[in-house]
This record gives sequence, structure tokens and C-alpha cells, in this order.
Amino acid sequence: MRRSLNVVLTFTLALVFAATANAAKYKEEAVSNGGDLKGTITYNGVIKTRTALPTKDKEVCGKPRKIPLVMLGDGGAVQDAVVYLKDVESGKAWPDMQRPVINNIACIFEPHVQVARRGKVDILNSDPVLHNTHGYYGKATAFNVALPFKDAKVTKILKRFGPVRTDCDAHGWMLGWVVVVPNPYFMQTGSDGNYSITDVPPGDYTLVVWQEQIGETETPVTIKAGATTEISIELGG
Amino acid sequence: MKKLLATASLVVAVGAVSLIALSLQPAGGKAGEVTTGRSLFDYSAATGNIEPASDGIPVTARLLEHGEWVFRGLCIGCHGVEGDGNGAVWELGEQYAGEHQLPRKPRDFTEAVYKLRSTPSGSLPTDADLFRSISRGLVLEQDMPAFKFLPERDRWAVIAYIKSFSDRWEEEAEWQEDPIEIGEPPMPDVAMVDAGEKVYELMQCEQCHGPGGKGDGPSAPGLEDDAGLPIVPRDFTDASQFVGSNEPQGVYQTFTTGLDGTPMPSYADFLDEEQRWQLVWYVISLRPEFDLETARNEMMAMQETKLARLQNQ
Repeated sequence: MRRSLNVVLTFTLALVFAATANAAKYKEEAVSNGGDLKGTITYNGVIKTRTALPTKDKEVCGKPRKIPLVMLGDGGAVQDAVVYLKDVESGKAWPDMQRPVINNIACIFEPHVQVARRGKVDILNSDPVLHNTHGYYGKATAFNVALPFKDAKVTKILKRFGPVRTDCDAHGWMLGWVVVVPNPYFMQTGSDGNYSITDVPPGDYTLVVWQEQIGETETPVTIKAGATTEISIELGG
Repeated sequence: MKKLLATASLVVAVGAVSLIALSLQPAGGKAGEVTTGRSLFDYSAATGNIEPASDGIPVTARLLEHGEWVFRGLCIGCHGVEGDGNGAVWELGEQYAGEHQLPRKPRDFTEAVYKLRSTPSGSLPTDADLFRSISRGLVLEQDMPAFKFLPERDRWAVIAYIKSFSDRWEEEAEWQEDPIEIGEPPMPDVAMVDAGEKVYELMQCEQCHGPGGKGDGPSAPGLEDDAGLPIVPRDFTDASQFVGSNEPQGVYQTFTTGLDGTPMPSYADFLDEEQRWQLVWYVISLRPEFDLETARNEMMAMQETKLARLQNQ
């Protein structure tokens, strides 16, 4: 009896998952009396590094070097943090976004961090050596494609939300990120660490700040109609 | 209650280990041992069908319940009650290391990343792909035993149950990519094998698999799978060590769709049909027991078997 209950539960859960997956779909509609959100992302903790240690293809990949996992501007401003609102069901239209490109150049993923919506991504090899671009959601492979020669290009689909880490099994130190956001309320910080998110329907949300070393930091926010809410975040960890 | 569960999973674990041990007995000689005059492809001792006879069974609560029963009876020893690959066989192997350690972490069904797929890299497998993996086993029954002896209903039921561990099946339904069709392999000849060697060089296969295909290329050291465990590129000279099918269609599928969860990427975008079969035959030609005449004879025999099966239907 318990076993069949379990199964019924599993079946029901599957249905609930299906329902939430649909509910998570963002709906575009006109926003009247929206509020704005802005602030600065800072950090003053320990900055870890990773080591690029080319063991082959040295003429293309360059010399061994250490690369910081947090890029800091003046006053501890964090560059390349991705700031976005979670759980927004409907709101402003998506901006025109070009299809994201992950370029393998000099054994570096260019850009190092970028934001995308769910959908297609182009992967390019600008180096005259074999690369393979291996994407992951967490530890799970999202895709893995060979780029055996210069100008090789593959198009893949980013099917789920969240940060996608890319590496290259042929050059193990390579690292890049594509953060797949669920709605158009997002911004990637520049060297000033500032972000600004506009035209948000009034309400309570979760503000997510993603940074490659620190991961995701969540902060509750309340957006008021026609007002600008200022929230600056000092990342911990 | 906890103790009872632990005892139960140990019993299942022991059962699963004996099952693996049983299925490890190949048709002749020890696993991995190369004997001349043996088939280029058939190393398996178990009997049963690998290809499904139907497209599947509609998923009902009753089928799922049956799937859970099959799963708890045969699968949890390695894959764990939660389907996350942390079964007792895996955990005990970790504890004792050495001879009891499984070569790879059992598949984590909560992540739903699968090596053997007819679909492009990053896509979920088809139900028929899962059916073949369960039936054939992986790496000729050393990682995962063959369950082709099970009634088909048991296999479809456990597939439905395995899929209930991950919401990827629901979330990605709208993005699901079509399978890559694999046709009949052409009869190999010298020109085809030679052309395949050029494809092998052009695709830079030797970076991982080495110039002679022994898995000893410059990028081989330090490779890891999704579980963060060391993994070595396939040694093409040992036909008993291929993941999934070591037949021409199996080799074709591996480099075309990639082995998701491992460093092996997809080459779908860079090879046309002709080049793919050239590469297939070059890779197979690296087996020490390979000669063109044997290969052609086996292909002929396979085609006849297939034809006979079609005529019987």
C-alpha cells in the first residue's frame, strides 16, 4: 500500500512539476506605474585565482598565468556580476538581444561572462587547434561539442535557466559563463559595479546576484509604484 | 526502520553484484581478452533482444508502480533508492576501493544526463535509446549489466520510473531535438579505411585517443567526467571496452552525438554521411582482430539476420 502511495505521489509530483514549469514562463505585457531598482555590487573578501597552465598548443594558448575569479574596479566594485529578479511572472518586453556567441580565441572564452535568454547560442573556434566547448548546469553536462579547426561553428540550445559554465576538455583551464535569465529584468555589471533595472511591476521579488567565485546571493526586495528603490549589495564569502 | 532499509539495500547490493559477475562471463575467454577468429562485435553471453519490438507502452500510474517494483528489485543496488547513483554497491566500493570499486559512478537519474543517445548533444535520449542501454548494458556489461533477459514490459516500466526522477523531461519538452538517423553501414573496403584515417586526423581524434587509437593522446591526462572522476579516452584496439554498441552504427552514434557527461564531444556538425562511415571503419580497423574479409562477412551475416527477422514479422 505504501509503495503504491509513493508511486501516486511521484506521478502527482510530475504533474506539479509540469504545472510549475508552465507557470515559470514569463509573459510580456504593458507595465503601468512600474518602479526602478538600482545599486552597486561590491566585494572585499578573499579573491581566489585559477591557473591557466598550457601543457600543449603553447604557441596559441600562451604562457602559464594566474587569473582572478573576481574582477574588481575602484572601491571594491564587482565587474561581471549578473543581477536579476527572480519570480517575475509578467512585465516589460524583452529587449532586442542578439544571439549569444561563445568565441574560443587564444584558448580563452570570449566574452568571459555573458547573459542570454533561453534559446540558441553560437559557439565559434577562432584558434587553429582543436577545442571542445563543454557546457554545464551545475555539474551536469548541458552540451559538449567539438570544434576541430579554425572557424568551426556550432549552434546549440540553452534549454534551462541558470548559470551555464563552459570549459574545454582539450584545454582544462579554460572557463567561461553564460547566465540564462528567466525575464528581461537583469543587468551585467561593468567595472563600476553598478546595476539598474527599470519598469518593474510593483511587488515583492527576490534579487539574485550571480558572481563566478561567490555563486548566487539572494536578497528580498519590494518594488514600489513609480519609485526608485536603491539596494547596494556587498557580497560575502 | 532505517536498519531494515539498510539491510534490504545490502541484500539488493549483493544481488546486483552477483548479477554483474554473472553477466561478466563473455561468450569465450575472459572479458577484454582478444582471441583470434572471434566475432568483431559480439562479446555478450546473455540472450534477449536489444532493439525494442514496439514504440513503448502508455505511461499510467500502474505502469509507474510496476517500474518502481522493477527498479527496487534490480537497480537500487547501484543507482540508489533516490536514483542519484549513490547505491550501496557504489558506496561500499568507495569505502573499500580496489577490486570492489565500480569503474564509473552509476548514472544519476536526477540529473538526466545520458551518454548513449541518438539525439544531439545536450538533448535527452529517446525512450528507445534508454531501452537499448538497459538491454545491452554499458561497456559490454562491466559498468552496467545487460538486462535484455527482462520482459519488455518490465523494461518500459522502469524507463517510465527512471524518468520520474528528473523534471528535465517536462521542462525541456518544447526544446527536444530530433534523433539523428543512422542508416545501414556500407561494406568496408581499403579506400574507405584509408579515407577514415584522414578524417581521424582532420577531426583531431588523436588529441585524446592518440595517433594509434590507444587512448594515449596529449589531452588524455587529467580528463574528468561529470562526477569529477578521472576518465580515460577509449582504447579503440579493445573492442570489448566500447561504451554501448561496438558495431558500426554504435561507433557512428558515439562520435556524432557525443557521450554527454564525459569529455567526448559531438562531431555532428563537421562530418557528412560518407565521412562518418569512413571514420567508423577506420576506428574499427584499429582492432587487432580486424581484417577486411572478416568484417565484410560479418556485415553480410548481420544483414541476412536482419532480413530474416523482417521477413518473419
